[in-house]
Amino acid sequence: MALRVLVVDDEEDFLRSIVMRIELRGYEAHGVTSGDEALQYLKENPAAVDVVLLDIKMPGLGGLETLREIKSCCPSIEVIVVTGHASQEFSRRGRELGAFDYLIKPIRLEAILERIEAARRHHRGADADG
Amino acid sequence: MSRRTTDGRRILTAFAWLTTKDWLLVIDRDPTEPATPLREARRIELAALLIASLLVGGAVVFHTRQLVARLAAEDRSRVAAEAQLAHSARLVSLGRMAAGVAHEINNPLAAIGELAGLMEDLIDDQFLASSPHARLFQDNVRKIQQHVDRTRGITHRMLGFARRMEPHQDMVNVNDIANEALSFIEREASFRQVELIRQLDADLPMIKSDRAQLQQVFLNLLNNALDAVEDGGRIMVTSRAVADSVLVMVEDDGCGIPEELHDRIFDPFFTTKAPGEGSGLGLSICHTIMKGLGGSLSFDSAPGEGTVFRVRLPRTPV
Repeated sequence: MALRVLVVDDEEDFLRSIVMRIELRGYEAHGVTSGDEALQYLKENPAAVDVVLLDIKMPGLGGLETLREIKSCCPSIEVIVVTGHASQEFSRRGRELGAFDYLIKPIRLEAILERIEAARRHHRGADADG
Repeated sequence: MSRRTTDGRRILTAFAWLTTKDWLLVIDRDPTEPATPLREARRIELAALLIASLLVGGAVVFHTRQLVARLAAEDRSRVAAEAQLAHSARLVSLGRMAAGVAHEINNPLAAIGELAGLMEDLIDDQFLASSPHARLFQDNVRKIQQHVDRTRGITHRMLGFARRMEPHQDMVNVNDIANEALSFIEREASFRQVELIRQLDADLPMIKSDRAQLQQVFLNLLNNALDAVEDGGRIMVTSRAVADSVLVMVEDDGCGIPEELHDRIFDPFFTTKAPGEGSGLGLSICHTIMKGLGGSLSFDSAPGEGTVFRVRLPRTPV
């Protein structure tokens, strides 16, 4: 089954483009522009997402709060932070809250996909251990 | 009474009849005689006073000079410390500004990269055959992504710079820091055909130090070297582990430092550059930084042949 990716980013040009490009590479992808929308989507489709690509600086519910909520409601979902905000403090807090990785924009899609695959392998390893 | 002798000297004479005998007691005295020991005493007193005054004066001058020298040294240290503080504060501000700019640029840059990436993804054979300009379109879309990659390198470096402005001791690879500093001057060196030679020991041990401050030191030494060499010159950066230290040498074949200036080269505000081209604080700050890191900064220079600066850092094996 194709990996299902939810992209959360308030920059619409980035969001639309990356969602289409991920789909062109054979994944399932869905894009939302805020943390609130992401939580709503996960609430309505609890088993429809394997990996979340999450921005940090967003209006409304911020990235770290969204991350905390996602990990609270759906701990099996791997979250990769993809942000232009390269703060060591945010990176540390993101990892503490359970983010799989913290990537700095701009980043080539291939690098993001490589981390998505790593997250998938990590997830399978965790399932096998469990 | 006063009278004169046959040879014309004036003498004082006193006399009295003795009561028991029929004798007259006469006492002659040279009036100048009693004054001689007094004058001698005065001369000795004056000499003693003079010697004492000279001794006291000399001691005062000696101690005053020592005091002035100490005050001047303290003043220089204070000026260097204040300059270091002001410089650090400026770097922190600059770092924050750089971080702000980088964050603001990263998001639109990411959008540009993804939009161009999507355009490239959508280009297929049918599209390439549809127009004589399609190939140019494809090339340009790829070039946009290459420029995004290039700009990403700049913003990531700015963010790295910003992060490293906070004082922080960490295990560092000195070669990496030297390479980073070299990357800052590569462009100008290339314009001026200055050869940058790296002789970095691949087995250099990691050491505990402040990455940002070390980068500041290396960058300063490299900039100085670049200023010292002629177009077409040579700058060599060497690193190696010695007994209890890591040694980095920045060597140039430039104009060198005249011997009479060697003692002043680390003084604050001392510069050989033209007015407005150098603050005279660079080497002073580097010297202070190296002392703060428990290391040292020294140099050898021969006018017309070049200069080598040696950065010595205490070694802390992992």
